[in-house]
Amino acid sequence: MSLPQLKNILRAPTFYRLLSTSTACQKSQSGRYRITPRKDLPLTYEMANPPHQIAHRKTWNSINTSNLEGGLRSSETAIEDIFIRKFMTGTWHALFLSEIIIKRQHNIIRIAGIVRRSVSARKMYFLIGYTEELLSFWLQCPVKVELQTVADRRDVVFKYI
Amino acid sequence: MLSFSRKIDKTAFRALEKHLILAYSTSSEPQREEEFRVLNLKHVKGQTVQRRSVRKAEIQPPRTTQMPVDQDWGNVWPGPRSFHPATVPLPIRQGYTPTGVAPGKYANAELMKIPNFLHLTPPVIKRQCEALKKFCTPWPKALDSDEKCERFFPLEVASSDYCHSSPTIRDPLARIVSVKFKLGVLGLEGRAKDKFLRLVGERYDEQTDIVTIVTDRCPLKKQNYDYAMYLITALYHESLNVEPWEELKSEADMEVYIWENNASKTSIEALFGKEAKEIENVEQYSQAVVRYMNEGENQYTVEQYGDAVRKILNLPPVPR
Amino acid sequence: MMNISKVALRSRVSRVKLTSQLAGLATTPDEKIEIPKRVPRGPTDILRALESTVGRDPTAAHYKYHDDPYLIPLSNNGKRVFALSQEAGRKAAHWIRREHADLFQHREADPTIEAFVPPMVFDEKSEVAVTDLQKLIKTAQVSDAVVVYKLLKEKGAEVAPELEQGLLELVCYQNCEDGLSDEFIEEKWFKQSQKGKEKLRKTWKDGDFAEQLFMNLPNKTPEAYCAIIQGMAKYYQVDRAVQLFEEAQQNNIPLNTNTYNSLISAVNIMKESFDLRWSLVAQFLNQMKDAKLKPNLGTLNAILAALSSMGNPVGARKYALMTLSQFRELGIEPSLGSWSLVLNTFYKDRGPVSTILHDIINLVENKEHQIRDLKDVHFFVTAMETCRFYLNDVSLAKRIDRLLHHGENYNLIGDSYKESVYYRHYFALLCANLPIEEFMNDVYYKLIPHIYVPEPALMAEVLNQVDVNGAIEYVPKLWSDLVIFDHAHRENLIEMVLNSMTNNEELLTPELNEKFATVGWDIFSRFDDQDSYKVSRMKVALSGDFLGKILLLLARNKEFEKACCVMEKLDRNQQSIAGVPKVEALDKFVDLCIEEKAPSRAIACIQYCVDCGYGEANAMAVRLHKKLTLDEVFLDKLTKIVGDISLAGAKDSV
Repeated sequence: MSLPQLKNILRAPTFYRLLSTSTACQKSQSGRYRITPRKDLPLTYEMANPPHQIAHRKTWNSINTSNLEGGLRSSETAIEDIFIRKFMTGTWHALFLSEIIIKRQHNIIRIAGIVRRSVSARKMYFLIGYTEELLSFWLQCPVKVELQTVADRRDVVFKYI
Repeated sequence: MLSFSRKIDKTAFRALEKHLILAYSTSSEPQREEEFRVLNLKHVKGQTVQRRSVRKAEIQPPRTTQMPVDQDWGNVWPGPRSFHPATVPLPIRQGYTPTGVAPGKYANAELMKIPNFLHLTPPVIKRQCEALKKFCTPWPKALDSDEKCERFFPLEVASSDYCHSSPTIRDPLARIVSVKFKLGVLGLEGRAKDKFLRLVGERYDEQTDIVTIVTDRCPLKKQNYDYAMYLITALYHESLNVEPWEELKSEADMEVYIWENNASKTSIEALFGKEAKEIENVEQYSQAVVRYMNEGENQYTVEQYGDAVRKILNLPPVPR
Repeated sequence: MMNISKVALRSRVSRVKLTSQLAGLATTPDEKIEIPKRVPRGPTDILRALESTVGRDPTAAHYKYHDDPYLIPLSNNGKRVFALSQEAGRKAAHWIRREHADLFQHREADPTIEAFVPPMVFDEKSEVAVTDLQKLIKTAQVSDAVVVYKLLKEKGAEVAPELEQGLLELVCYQNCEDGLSDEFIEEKWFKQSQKGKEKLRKTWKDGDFAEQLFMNLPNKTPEAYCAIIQGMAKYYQVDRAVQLFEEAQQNNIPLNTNTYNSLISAVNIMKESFDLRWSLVAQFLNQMKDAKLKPNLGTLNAILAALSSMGNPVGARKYALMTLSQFRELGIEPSLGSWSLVLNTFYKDRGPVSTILHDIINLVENKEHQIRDLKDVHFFVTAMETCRFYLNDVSLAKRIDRLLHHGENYNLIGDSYKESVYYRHYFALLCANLPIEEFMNDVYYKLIPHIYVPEPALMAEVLNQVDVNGAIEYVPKLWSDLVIFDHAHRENLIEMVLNSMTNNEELLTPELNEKFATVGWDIFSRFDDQDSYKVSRMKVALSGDFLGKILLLLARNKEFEKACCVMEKLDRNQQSIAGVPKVEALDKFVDLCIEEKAPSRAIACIQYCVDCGYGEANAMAVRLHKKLTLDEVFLDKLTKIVGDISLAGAKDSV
């Protein structure tokens, strides 16, 4: 419901009626990509499938027990996951080609993803050590980073739209 | 003519500019430090941007290529971890495409998302079970049947541990303790049993003869267990205990009709002039009365009662 | 009855316990139920049992490395750099946590995991209590413990004598320095390799906190004397140690066995010649006897250590055997460290070769050894070294290797340096003594590169063996390994590779020819490419001889284009390239040119031959002339180079 409509309702009753002739705008936009004129926008498999395909064609990026029935700490887990994602995209700047996958088992947090080989292996090792240690201090769980490297950005492209 | 020459000037100037920019942007390192660099705001077409060529490190082929066919998979994948295509020598695919084949295993995030059980192949499970056997306490030899279990261990205590994916191991539900036992094992009779059942209330299941006590009011499992044990002890002793006021229970306080205690018995004794148990067919009569009194008046009980009366009085049965 | 619901991640485990508490009430049991005792187990026993089911995967790197083709280290340098980089990252995280300790005070985990909580920082202003000191001593944080102790003293707090003794022992053991934290195992693992031979040097900090603390003790207990003497002896402050020892003797202060042990280990610094040293050892031992002290393993190892570096091998061996037999009578089992010291005593550069290693291996074989002495980690290296240099015995080496991989014995390998020395000896021994096929299949492919990366000298040895045995089919694999191990810029190795590829001509197959040509071209392009020239530290340019060999390989495989590149390089840089190629290579190239009908290339080559002063140029020219019908221009050129062709040909045919 749009704001003007709301205003009308909250206003003191008057003696006239309104008719809207435009269709209701209930379009979902998040997680969907617009086709470009040249059809050159690269999409990964994850991006190519809109959110309603979760559990059909793709699966969740966070796997934990908090969202199951009877699960505990659901809000904390969500906040922590956002923190991890922000931390990873910032620390591994422009390296991750996939979404950051967070899997929790008991008190272990596994952070998985696909990264580019654009920094040297030793720098990557530094980042792995740093990320694992700092995130475990912050989240107080053992954190493991499990990466797959690919040579080229194009390796993860599923289609162009 | 003038305009033409001007045009030529313009194009020549442009070409020069282009050339200059080209020269500056591609000039070699040491020269660049001395000379002025051109601020190139607009992109000139055809300008070659010199990019540092990244030397590709030499990368080994995936190690699946070196794996022998008869390798021990448990050594390759000893514990749970995310899928990695260079380590798993299987041609796996995952994902959906409307046409064509599903995406392969390389650079496939879907495969990394799903929890895998590559570390728990049947031979590995077998090996691990063998290794863990030495920690198992053997089952008591004498306990070879369910009856014996029930006889020697009549009390069943159940509690649950929960395992979440979270940094804490606490779960409020873990405090709940439930204790089950058969009422029969307590050896309560008559009044004591009646009192026990009254105290226990709905926790007693008549069909299976099992009493279930669930305790969850204390914060810890141990406390709840102790509390349950206390409850059983208290229940047992309380039901054996006879309070002075229990002796005062009169016929009016009875919750069921018992023929032996009632006027019906005395009147039938008076009618026949002998002890109740010597009268013929008295059992059928007494049962009919009890049923009539306890279950209330309905066609069945009334008919039963009628039959019993006819029988005891030696009257012919009603023809139906 | 059992209600176990198990979802993949969140699981609920119900425990059902049956108790017989009520049994007495209901029935009198006619038979007794014996419930077996619970099998006792420690907190990590299950994990250890599971771990014992996992073996080594030869295709995988050590588990500390990330299992990804890009991140698996393949050279010694890579192994070191990657592991230390990761640790550097962890250190950075530790630094952040220490600097911003206030941000890390939340408590997510329940129960709290101590390792994730920021450490306490102590300075002049912090509020301290005796319990802090206790904790610091327990966790061996030397500098913090010293600060806290001083603060406590300033405040006038009462520090119990036991605590002071604990602190004294700690600072004496650590020489008032903070040790490497247990957090950073990689640094420990790789540290040894930098440390040179600065062992026998006084490193004790004179007048530092340890001595101050000792001086300020109100009553100096025997334990305090023991601690300070041991500390001084450990860090080779021998004079003061002896002085304190004599002081203690005079005042009738009883000292413990370990103090005597530490003094015995320092005997070699106190005295000069063999006899003096040995008599001093005997003197200490007699004093121990007078004090009614029972010697222990430390005493044995101290005596053996002293003997092993005493000089006079004959006497040392005699005394070592005597010591061992006496200690056996005392019921003290020698540890692996003792045996490594015995090996040091028995295997010296001069003198007859002893076979004592066989006896030792017989004693220690098929057993799981625990670390009992710091020197135990030297055993495997010493044994393998002895085996290689003195005994040259493959079967014995294999027995040692089996012992190393028995149970958890691998923990006794020491550090990365010792590990790599151990494998160097093992590898070299097998390389020299096993048939080449067996060596390559059973040893090379299994150990390399994840367990061990051979040094250049060893690679040279392998190449030599391959060359001698004519097993040239391994050369391409060896070359690719050389590249991976970062040895590809070493001239001697390149030379060996090229030699074994060019020499064994009779063994060639078309397949090998192709592979060899690829290797040759790889070598050439590695040097030709300016970028890699800079990056991979190629100090030398390829000599003419090398280029000639590459040319030969390419010509054999009929790769005309590439061969031309090499020839051009030879021709163009005649001045800068040292040496000249062998004439066979040029000969082969001319033949190739003839086959490819490229007379100009052939003529250039012949010109080059003449420039180099090869007499065979004429023959080449004749061949060219015969096989190809040359036009005027070429003929002209050819004539200019070698003179009259027909004449030369005539001369040749005569």
